[in-house]
Amino acid sequence: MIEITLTDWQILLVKLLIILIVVPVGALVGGYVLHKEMAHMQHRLGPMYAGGWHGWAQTLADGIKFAYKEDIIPASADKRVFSLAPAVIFVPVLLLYLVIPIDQNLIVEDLDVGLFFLLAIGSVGSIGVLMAGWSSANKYALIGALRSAGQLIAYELPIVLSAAAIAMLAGTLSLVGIVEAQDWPYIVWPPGIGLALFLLFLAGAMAEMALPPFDMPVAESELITGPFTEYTGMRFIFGFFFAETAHMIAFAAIGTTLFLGGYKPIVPWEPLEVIPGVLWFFVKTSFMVFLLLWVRFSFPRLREDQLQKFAWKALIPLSLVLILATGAWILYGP
Amino acid sequence: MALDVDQRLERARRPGFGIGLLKGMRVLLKHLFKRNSVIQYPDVKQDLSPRTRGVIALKEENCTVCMLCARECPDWCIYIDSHKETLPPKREGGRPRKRNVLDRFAIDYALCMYCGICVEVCPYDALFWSREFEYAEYDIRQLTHEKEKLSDWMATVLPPTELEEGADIPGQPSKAAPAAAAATQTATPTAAATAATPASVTSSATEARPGQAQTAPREGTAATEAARPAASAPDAATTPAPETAKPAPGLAEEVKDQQMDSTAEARAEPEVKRDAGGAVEAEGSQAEVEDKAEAETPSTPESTAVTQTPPPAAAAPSRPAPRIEDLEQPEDAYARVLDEQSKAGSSPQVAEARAKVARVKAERAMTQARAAAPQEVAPTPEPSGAPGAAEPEPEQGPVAPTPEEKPDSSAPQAEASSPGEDPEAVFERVLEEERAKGSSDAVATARAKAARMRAGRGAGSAGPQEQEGTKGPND
Amino acid sequence: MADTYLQVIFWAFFALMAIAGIRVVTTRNVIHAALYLVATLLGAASMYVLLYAEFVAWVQVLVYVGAVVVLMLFGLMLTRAPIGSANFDNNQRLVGAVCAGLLFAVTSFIMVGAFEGQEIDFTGTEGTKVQSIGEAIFSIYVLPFEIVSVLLLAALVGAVVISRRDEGRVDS
Ligand code: SF4
Ligand code: SF4
Repeated sequence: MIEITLTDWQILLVKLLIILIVVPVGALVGGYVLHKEMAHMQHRLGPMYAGGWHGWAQTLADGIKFAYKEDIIPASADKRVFSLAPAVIFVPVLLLYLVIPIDQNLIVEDLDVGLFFLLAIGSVGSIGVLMAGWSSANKYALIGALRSAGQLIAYELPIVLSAAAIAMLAGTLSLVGIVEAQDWPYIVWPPGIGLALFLLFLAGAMAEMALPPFDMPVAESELITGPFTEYTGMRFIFGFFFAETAHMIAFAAIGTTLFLGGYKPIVPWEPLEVIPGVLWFFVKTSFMVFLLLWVRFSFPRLREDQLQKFAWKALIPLSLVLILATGAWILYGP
Repeated sequence: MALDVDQRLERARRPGFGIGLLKGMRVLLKHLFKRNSVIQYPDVKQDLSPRTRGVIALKEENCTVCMLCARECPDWCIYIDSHKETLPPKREGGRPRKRNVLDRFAIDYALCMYCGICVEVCPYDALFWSREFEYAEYDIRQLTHEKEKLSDWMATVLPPTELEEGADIPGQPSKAAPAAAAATQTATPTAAATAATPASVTSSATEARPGQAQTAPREGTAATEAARPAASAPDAATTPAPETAKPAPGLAEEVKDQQMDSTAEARAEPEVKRDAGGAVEAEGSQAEVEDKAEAETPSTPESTAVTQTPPPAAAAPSRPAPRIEDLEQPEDAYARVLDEQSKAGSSPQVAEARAKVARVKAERAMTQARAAAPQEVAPTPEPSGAPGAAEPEPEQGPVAPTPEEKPDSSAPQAEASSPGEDPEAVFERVLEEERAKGSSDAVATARAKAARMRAGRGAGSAGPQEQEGTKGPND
Repeated sequence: MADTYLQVIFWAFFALMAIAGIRVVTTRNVIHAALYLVATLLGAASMYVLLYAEFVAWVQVLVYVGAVVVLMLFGLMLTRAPIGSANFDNNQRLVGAVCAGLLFAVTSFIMVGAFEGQEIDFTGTEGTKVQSIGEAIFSIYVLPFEIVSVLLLAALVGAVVISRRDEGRVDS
């Protein structure tokens, strides 16, 4: 066996390279799954032509098509901000993948404050959305951006608080540590609290990603495509489609890590330990993606005021109560 | 009941604590695993229902430029141009005839709302619904389709669907006749009755109803159906199949009533009206016709009925009966009709004209009878009664002032599955033909099915234009 | 060796922060100013990382970039920011400059006085653990922490009162 010795820097570079390859591929596959799952749930077929077999290459074809489209910047747009916005949206999504433990040792960087890193980086994207919306010099884009910002502010809290409760239970902010601290039966433990936290996280995540039923920022029937109204070509695909799908997968992976026991087998049974953690992680993340999409296709879009009410009057009080309950469980529980 | 609704509303309004959301998700999950019934359109074409309102097809040779459709169209999207043409008289000493020639017939499909009023209103059955629907254009102006295209669509028009069991057909109560096919083909039982004149036809039609009720079973057993074609010679009642023609007076009496129904049917066939002469000769044939009918449908349970009914030929429906003795010589016909007409109080000119017509028809019938014999059994393989099958015969065309000039459009009404042909065989044959013609699978199958249906009920000729074709002229 | 890298990175981020900071006050477009502020804050976060204070760095990003600036932008766009590239400025630059200069002078004076002669050692530091921060906040600094909480609560209530002023008038 050839021994390859790499310095820390080289390892880091290789890992980054892998991320740069895996994430776009994942986004493409995720986009395809999105098309197909939505279609079949709505009793349609979805893409059937591109690539031959059940339109497997549809998202790829879409991507290529967008790559060939003209990159239009509106005359009265703020050109620099306009051009920069998609990157500000997309790069943080990529960074999310840096700290997600795919297996016990398969992680780009196990940060001491991994959980915090996720939350922090996840919130940067909204700056990009605001930039995109404002610089487009388009009222629909601006309204979309404002909705997005309002939504983010409202739903950041439930996410942060539910993540904080998880950190309290695990006693660490390191994602590997959190996974290690989880035991079967992951999300239903502690009883009631775990599941409630999970649902809270799910709702917050969907709202933060602006997935239906929380997609008011891009509500196409009212705002065309919200902040992305004026975007075309690659900027559109990176700022919108790609970022959305990659973000969704990232959140599915985060949900897996925080609530579903990450790379651990579904049930603690000897023979299952043989299966590599990567596979477990993949299965669980796929399930999460399915779940997110399922919810997404099931419900109609909320109204803006309903969304805000839901956040401030239901989710945030609930998350505070859950934090309290978690603390009580840690102090007085078994 | 009201209480019930209130209760249900009440229940629906009760807070569900998100259970409703879960129910919604369950529905989607169920659908995810359900078999998908999507038809992948450009690859697979849906077999649209036969009455689909796709586009409107024009049977150009049927159009008399009466402008009814254009006038009735709520959108005013039918454009018709025409000019009058004078045709030389058909024979020496005749009057030159005028006729409208259709120059342009266009429907603007960008305006058309597919209400079907034009199809409904056309008295000459020149407009039909076709199941075709792929006629998109890149420019809205090109959506105005001219008569060439409209006529092309005629090929895609399906024969009318079979009526429900026991359904009432206004004005044409009897059933289709299978054996008829042959008869219709050879010596179409023309309204020989040239003399019979429209009036008589109508009267017989009206009488027909009660008659049918008595004798002919509504269900139209094979027998009655078989009888029809022959019987179909409306007034002339003399029947077709000249080669076989022999009178069977006795039978004629029995079936008379039934015949009367048949006459109504006969009216349905334009060609029937035409070579009227055949009728005159036909008289002799009845016995044989009867035999034939029997022979052809022997196995049907109703064969007894067959024996009774066939005489259609004999049929001497109301008026013509007295005249049917044997082959009438043209001159005799002339004299007789003249006589009748003057008795009936027609003006001398009219009487003479009608008599002439009768003479001509008698002549023609004789010639035809001689020529027709060999063709009898050979069914033309044309697609099942598709209206398109009709061959344009312009000069005899649409302008139909006198009976003898009635449209002869559908000369070789191919549909003709040869009488008694096994429905399955018909199906196969038509399918083959359609394939050979390059029809799409769906269309081919549909037509084959239609043919089988027709064969099954023994009708050779249910093409749309025949069913109502005579309505206009006669009424 | 590692020291050199860190020096390079430090100066790079310093330059970024300085330029962005200057642009914050000189740009004529208020939205641009807010965006430059984002860059400045991110530079500050990177400084924290260089100081092995990961947690503070990410708090900086989460709270300032993710929330404060978003709120600022939200407020600006909701109220009077011109859409697109149009300018928005007032003529109080001089007053602003004087205030900022005074603030800078005072802060620098105090800082230099407090840390004179100390050097930061980049090597061999384990960095600040979250745990130690938590312990510090909830033991030694618990009083300031609670006071800040009350202050924030007061600010929150004040904001609500101000924004609901109209409705109150209608009620009375
Ligand atoms: S279908 Fe109706 S609208 Fe269309 S051409 Fe016929 S009458 Fe006019
Ligand atoms: S015959 Fe029919 S198609 Fe022709 S003008 Fe009259 S109504 Fe229209």
